[in-house]
Amino acid sequence: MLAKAARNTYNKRMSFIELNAVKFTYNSGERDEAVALDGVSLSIGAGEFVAVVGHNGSGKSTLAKLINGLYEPDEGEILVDGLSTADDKNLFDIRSRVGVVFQNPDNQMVATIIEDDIAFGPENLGLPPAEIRARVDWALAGVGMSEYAKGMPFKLSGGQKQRVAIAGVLALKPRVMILDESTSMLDPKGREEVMRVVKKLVDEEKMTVILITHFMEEAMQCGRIVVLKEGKVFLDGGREILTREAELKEAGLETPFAVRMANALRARGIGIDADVMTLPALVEALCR
Amino acid sequence: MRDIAIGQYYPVDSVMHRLDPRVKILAVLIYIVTIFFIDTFIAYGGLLLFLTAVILLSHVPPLKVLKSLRMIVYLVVFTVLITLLFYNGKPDDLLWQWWIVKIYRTAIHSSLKMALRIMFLIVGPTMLTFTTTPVALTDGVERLLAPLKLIRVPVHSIAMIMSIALRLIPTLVEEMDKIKNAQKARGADFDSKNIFKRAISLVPVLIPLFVSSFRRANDLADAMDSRCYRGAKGRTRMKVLRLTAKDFAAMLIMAAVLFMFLWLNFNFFPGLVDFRALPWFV
Amino acid sequence: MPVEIRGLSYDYDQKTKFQKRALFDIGFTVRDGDFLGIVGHTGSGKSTLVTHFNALNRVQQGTVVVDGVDLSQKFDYKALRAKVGMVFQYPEYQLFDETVYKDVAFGPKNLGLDEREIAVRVEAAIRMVGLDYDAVKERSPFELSGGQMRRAAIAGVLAMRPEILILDEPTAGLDPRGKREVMRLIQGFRAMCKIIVMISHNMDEVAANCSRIIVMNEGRVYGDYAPEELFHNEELLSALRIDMPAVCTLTRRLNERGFSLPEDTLDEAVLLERLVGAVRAKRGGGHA
Repeated sequence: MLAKAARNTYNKRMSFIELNAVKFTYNSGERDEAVALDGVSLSIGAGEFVAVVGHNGSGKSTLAKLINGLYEPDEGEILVDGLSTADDKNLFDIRSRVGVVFQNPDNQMVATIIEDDIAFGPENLGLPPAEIRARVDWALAGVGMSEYAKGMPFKLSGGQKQRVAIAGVLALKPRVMILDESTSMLDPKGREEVMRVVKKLVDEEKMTVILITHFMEEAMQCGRIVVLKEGKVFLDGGREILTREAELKEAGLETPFAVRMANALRARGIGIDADVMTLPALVEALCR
Repeated sequence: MRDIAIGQYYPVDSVMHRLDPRVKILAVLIYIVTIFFIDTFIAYGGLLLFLTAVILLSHVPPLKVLKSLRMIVYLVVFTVLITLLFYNGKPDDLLWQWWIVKIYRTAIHSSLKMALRIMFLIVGPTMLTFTTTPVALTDGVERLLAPLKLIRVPVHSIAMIMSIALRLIPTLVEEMDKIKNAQKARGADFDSKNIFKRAISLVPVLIPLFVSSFRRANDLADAMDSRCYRGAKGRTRMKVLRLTAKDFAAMLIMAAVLFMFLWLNFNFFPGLVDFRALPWFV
Repeated sequence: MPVEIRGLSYDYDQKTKFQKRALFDIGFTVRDGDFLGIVGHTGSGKSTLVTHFNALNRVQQGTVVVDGVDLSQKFDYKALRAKVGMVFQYPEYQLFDETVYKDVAFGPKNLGLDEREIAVRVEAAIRMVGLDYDAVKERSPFELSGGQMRRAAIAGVLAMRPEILILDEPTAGLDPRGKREVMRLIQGFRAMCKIIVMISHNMDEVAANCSRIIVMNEGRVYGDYAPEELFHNEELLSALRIDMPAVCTLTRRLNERGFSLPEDTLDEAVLLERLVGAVRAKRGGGHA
């Protein structure tokens, strides 16, 4: 009910990505058949910064691959900028609008030299060499990796590799960037590096970003949070979703520490405003 | 540091690095053919000088080049020994004899030449990969093979497969190390003296390695697709191959060098210089 | 069965041009009952250090003595590896056999145990990691879910009945629920293993589980701490670029604003009780 109400407010915006009752099953008809998405409807507008969270196997990564046309929905429809992913003729245009940064930093580098790798996308777009060069330099600068242009990826840290992967997508100048658990294999420092770049893209480049993650601290930085549970949209709304401890737990997720603390204090009769979600805010509330 | 030198690029700037990959690939092909044609020490000497010049010009540390020979040491030693022991020379050539072991002067020459040949064969292509990025290399191959497109050879795909293989080698070597360590920690024994046991013991390493290669290949295919890859169709290049004066000069030099080798080897102009008269011409 | 490390130094690529020192003069002793956390950022030498415990890295300089066996001398590798179990990062990537049973049996088989003993150990290990023995024993490990694969791989090490268990980032890549469950399982292993050593980047996890913490920094032991002592020391943590657990951050921030909470606990529940008391006193006092 609540999820539905929240979704309706989002539908009022111009939607750029539209999922209508999407169903997707792995190994359909076989012994190890697994339903990944079970009737998901979502609409994401241009300029949104959305977190998609959920337990492992909740279908969140499948979502990224569906939006990008790597998979085709079994039922329902996905429209990107009005183009259906079911039509192979649209895939090139869809992929030039929606880029994906994947999970494993070692498995998305095509070339052995960093700048060659970043050039891969724009080369596929058929751009003139000078334009490709300009985009590569711009993308590398955008993620703060210019000095490594001629270097080799396997000498980089995990965080640096993912920044290169982001640059590789950025060079396509997509409207939407999906980060498919791109921080899950990184150490805290690497995660921070990647999140800093992502926030810059949102703030400065006005990029639409879909952040697929199970780190709640990361989700907290987004304007909207979609919680998936067993292939269905379980919650969808603003950051206030993170205060719903019981429901998050049910979805196999954690509540951020400050929220957990605030809830526990409230339960013990200590008044704390409902919008307290971060540690500094909690400190303020307790010192008042 | 791994010793898989082939397929490894050495990132410095040099004349050799800047040459067009097509020129370098052709040069290596010519070089390999030459090795099979020449069979005299004087020509090998020339070849050694030529290689030294190439290495110095490439700014790749000579030690690093020598290291590329490490993986063939056994092959070389084995070849030399076989040739030395089983060579059947003329009686007047016999140097030394013990029981049934006979060492002939010609056998020594022959085995030395064999060893040199193998080493030359490795170092040449290694210099190509040291000085050429895999992207440039595959680009060069693709362009050189372009005429084959007429007979429907999937030239672009071949080049792409090559490039990805080169890209994945270091990752898979690292992965294999990790898996090996994990299995060793579970008591696996990879150092058994028994060759059969040793081969069997590799199964727990090779299976996860295969599984992970497939996973990586899958991931990579997704990453490529999502970055708008659709084969050669409509694809342009950031670094366009263009032959410059330097490349033409290199081709001329290569032609001249080739001619020199053949001259040294076959003594084309005995009237002009007679190499055969030199005492170390064999 | 203590592990004594004295003057241990280690070079990568020894006697080559690439020689690089990874460990500098390490010295400490791990005792029975320790749940030792080893923390430090990527590249600080944590993994290089622990792979000395089961002789995957040979002692180059100094000594490592495990239960009286000096690893810088000649010793029995198999006996050592039976005693010291090691779960690597992403251990599911080492699974190889046709069935979970056979895979878990790999270690015990290498130890040369008889079939009956192997069967007992395999079943016990699979149950210890919380998998349904009858449901998984005949299944291919590659058919399991990601979380189950991780558990099966851990079972493969447990089946060797190690007295010392080393875990390198056992929860990396898991979702919050998976992380919690794996940590709970590891706590359970303390009944079998005399010593547990865990490398982790997740400070909340280390704070909640370890009884002692070694901080590594640039190949050296920076310090050897009780968890409460380390995690309340903000100056030290920020110098080492280690995250402060949320409980400690909140305590510190509040104390800076006039609270006087003791800085001696890492337990959320304890902090909550103290906070309730402090805030009630404060707010109550304010109204009076």
